[in-house]
Amino acid sequence: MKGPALGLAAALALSASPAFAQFTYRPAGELVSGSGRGRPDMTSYAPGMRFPIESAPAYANSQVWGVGGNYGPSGSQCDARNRSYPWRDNYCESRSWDMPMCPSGTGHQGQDIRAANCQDNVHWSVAAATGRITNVGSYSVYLMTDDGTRYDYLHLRSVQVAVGARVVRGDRIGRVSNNFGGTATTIHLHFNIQRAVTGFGNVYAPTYGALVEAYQRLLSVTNPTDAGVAPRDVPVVIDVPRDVPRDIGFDVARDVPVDVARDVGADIPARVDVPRDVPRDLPLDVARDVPRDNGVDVPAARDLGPAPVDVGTDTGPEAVEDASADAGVEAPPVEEPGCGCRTQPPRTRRSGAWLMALAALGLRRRRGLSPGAPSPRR
Amino acid sequence: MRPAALALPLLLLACRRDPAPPVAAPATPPTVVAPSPPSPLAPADPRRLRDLLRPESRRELDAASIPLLLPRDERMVAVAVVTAGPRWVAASIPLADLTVSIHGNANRHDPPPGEVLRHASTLRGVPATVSRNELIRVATWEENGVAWSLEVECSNRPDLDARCVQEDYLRALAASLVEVRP
Repeated sequence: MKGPALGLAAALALSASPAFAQFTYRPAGELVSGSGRGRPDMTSYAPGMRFPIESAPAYANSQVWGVGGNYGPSGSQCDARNRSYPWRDNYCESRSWDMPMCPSGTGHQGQDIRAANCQDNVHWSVAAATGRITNVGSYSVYLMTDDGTRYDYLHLRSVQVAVGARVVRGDRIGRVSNNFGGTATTIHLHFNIQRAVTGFGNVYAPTYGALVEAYQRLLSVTNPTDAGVAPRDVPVVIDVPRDVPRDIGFDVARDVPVDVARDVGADIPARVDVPRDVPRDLPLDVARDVPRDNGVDVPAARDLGPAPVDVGTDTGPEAVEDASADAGVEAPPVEEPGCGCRTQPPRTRRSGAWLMALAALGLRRRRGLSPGAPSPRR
Repeated sequence: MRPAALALPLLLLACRRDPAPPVAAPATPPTVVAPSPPSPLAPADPRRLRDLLRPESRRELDAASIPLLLPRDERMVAVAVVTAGPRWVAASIPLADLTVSIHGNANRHDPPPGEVLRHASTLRGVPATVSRNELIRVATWEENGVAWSLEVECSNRPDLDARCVQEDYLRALAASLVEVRP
């Protein structure tokens, strides 16, 4: 198959991927019916912040009034309805405690966000901005930026930071979980933005506007169309050593390769490998010096500036396996190991496998490999 | 038996004590049990509190542009981890089953246009809000041009721990805070 044909197929598959499904959101302040009075304030009180979960898709909505929540429809927290668009604001949702920014004077201080699926202790939350960790409690982490904005991350496990640590926008903080000091809650990130207000003290600012903006940015850099990047016409692996020094001044670029891969879905025979354990003090040159030109055109990586990108190829079975992680929902629910909940298994990606095979064939021909030869891997 | 011979066993019996339990060397550093906040009237020497900070925390405080509020309880100060930014300062105090955090922030913003934020309570003699955030006891107020937050997070069943269910502990802690200057 020729490159353009594969590209078209890849684009079609990409558009069908759940990660690229049209992101929609309810207006700020429009809470679940009966869950209180919201604040119709779409102001971004943290303009430019990084979305606090590493990868899309993610779903901002109510835990308590969602499926399986105390006041929500009966069912499992892993119900697919909890992981679907549109987003819904739950800042100022009914709570008994004081919240001066809420119309009722009481309410929920932040926004609850579910990660791509309900697996516990898997999905990373990341630094919304560059700053310092000022507190790590048993289920909370606070990150303070130079401008005095504080980001609160609650219910995490596997926390990777200590008090006093300096973190760079996008650094991993901990994994999304249901840690609540032994009190029951669902698997989610509770995210606050706190700012100081003259004549008052510190307030929990509305989070929804900033989160919508940040999520749109995350999606726009993962969506090749929005990013002005043509669909890739060959299967690729983009290795992104995430933990190389980060203070090199291109936060946006740094976020791109990872999210491209994670959100692409199974129909694209492409994958980003993210080495987790690369030492942080790895010299940048190590990453930069990896040969890039292996005959594969990878615009998604090359157009992103000087990010440490290792471009390789992979058409092996792992790529298919990994890529299917974001598959849609077709099969009946099953018990998910390590999750303690019921969730939907990935749907069979027949079209993805078909594309993979075609793509592999195309690549091998281009590189002069026989169809049966082992895949070159780095 | 002669009286002297009888007296000796009786004397020994009277002096008998249970053997002292073996003293094991602590395998880990001793944890600090969350102490009751001392009375706000208890004397406090800010300079002494500063000196009780760990060296790295003292360096942070010395680099801070604003003073830090610290509890009078010296056991808390001794384990506090201080961080500072251009116009803010913070302390995190990890205790055995509790984490106390204090944030002072001078990067103040105007309130949202047309909005008047009101406190429903008082702390330290000034208007304050005492609330909860996901069962973390929180209080905020403004003092000397700095927005302050004091938080108490209970590690084990915060829904049952009186220090997080009730306001009393947080209020007493707030009242005990002492301004410690760089």
